[in-house]
Amino acid sequence: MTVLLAIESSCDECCAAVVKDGREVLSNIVNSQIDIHKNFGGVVPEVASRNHITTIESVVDRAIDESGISIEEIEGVCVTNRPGLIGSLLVGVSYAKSLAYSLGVPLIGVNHLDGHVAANYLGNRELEPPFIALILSGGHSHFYYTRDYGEYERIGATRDDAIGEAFDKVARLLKLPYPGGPHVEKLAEKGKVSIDLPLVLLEDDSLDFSFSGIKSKVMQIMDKGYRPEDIAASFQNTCFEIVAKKIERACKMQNIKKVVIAGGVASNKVLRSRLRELPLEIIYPDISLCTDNAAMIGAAGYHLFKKKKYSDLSMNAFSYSSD
Amino acid sequence: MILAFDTTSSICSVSIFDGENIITQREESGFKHSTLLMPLIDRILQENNYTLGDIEKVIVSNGPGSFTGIRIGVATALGFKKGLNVPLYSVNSLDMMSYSSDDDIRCSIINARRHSVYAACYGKITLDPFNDDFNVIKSFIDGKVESVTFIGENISEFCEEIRKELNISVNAVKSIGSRGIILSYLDGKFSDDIYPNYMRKTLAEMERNL
Repeated sequence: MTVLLAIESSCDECCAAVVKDGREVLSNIVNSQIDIHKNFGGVVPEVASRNHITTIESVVDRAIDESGISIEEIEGVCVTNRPGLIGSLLVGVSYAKSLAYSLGVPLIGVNHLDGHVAANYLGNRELEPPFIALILSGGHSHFYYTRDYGEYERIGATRDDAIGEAFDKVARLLKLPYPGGPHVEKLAEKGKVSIDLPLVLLEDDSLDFSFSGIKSKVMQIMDKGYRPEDIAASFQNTCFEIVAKKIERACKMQNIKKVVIAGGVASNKVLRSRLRELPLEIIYPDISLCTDNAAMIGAAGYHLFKKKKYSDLSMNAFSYSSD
Repeated sequence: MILAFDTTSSICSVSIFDGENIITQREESGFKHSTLLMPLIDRILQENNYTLGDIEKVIVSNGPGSFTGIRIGVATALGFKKGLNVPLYSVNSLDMMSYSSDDDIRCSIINARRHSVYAACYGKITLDPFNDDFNVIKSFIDGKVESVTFIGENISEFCEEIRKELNISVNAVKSIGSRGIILSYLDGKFSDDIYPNYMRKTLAEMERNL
């Protein structure tokens, strides 16, 4: 049995979790700053960093308390060290380093995107690579071919806005609160898919995305008298149609039928019902593990731990993903 | 043994105090504290034959200074607190800097750009830590002193101003870093509130009057 503590502070959520054997969540604490950043209409990096440093201690304390294990049983400390807001990342990274050092256990730097994919190992105990992973969140729209645990290759990414970012921007146009995703989804329930928006699929062999054109089109039609709920429904539908088409394309190109969806947008019910139409095995993490959390970092870190891919004390934080 | 570290300026420095002597190691960081601090701590412990179990207290400078640097220091201290279960204390970085000289009138100054400073005065005349225009220091010492010691980095513009405009002789000294944390602690100037003392709101908050 391997018990790891995991810490995630890459954006506006301060998280800690205890994970057993990379599959079982013993505790998963998420301290969201959404209410704070609402005042600014988006995440302000310095404000986020300031909140991380004042909450990290209590978040880690709660994660250990609720897990039912004692601190001496922790065999390694995993922490997100890329990609993300550098000031936010550095709080988790600095804390994790001195904690791992003083406990005398390995430190494991984890890629946040690897974490989103690994979230699926937690809810779906039987899931094994290989599979295609698609991360859909406020910061990412990335395709990965996952060959083995913790071994993946990027096969596509957004060329401009991440899908969640496009939702946030359209939400702002529709005067909906931040974060936009759930609000656009709710408004769209009352609307009809009645407005033609560009179905941007790029080159025939491309697994990249581009969402900024759709967002710009929405901007242009804002004063044309359409009902906001119809705009929301049409926008959402167009985005998910693109996602569905790209998934089909990716599976065909990689000759694989298993797809893992991750990231905050994976919790959208309209997306899920659209993807049910595909003749593929589509796997989602638990809704609670779609958005940023530390349990997923523990799940990803477990495989690095097993392979002894430890980080040293000079480990840094990076705003970009290294792959 | 007491472990102290300072990452609030461009110098990363670590000190240990065994009850008699203070040993300090420092590195020019260029704001790479994140990669330097823990290896420096590991090195100072090993070179002086200490183990983790010897650490009885951890003291960190918690600002003012570089916002990110402050957080790297405080987060590192919090990790030690959790892992070693030892008490944690903080020292104001301006107080820490003030131990860099024995002169009668000392001002710790952190250049916050555009003529703004975090500063405080120590010795025969005292001024509590503040964040404001450098002119506050100028008018405070004007007519009161004949010479003054300024402690800090990138402060030559302020030294020049004092010499030229007030005809006061200025002695410029660099900060002794974490050694000053131990000295301040021994002087009874420390706190158990270890959270960052930025002395300044974020730009986003200022713009919105929050």
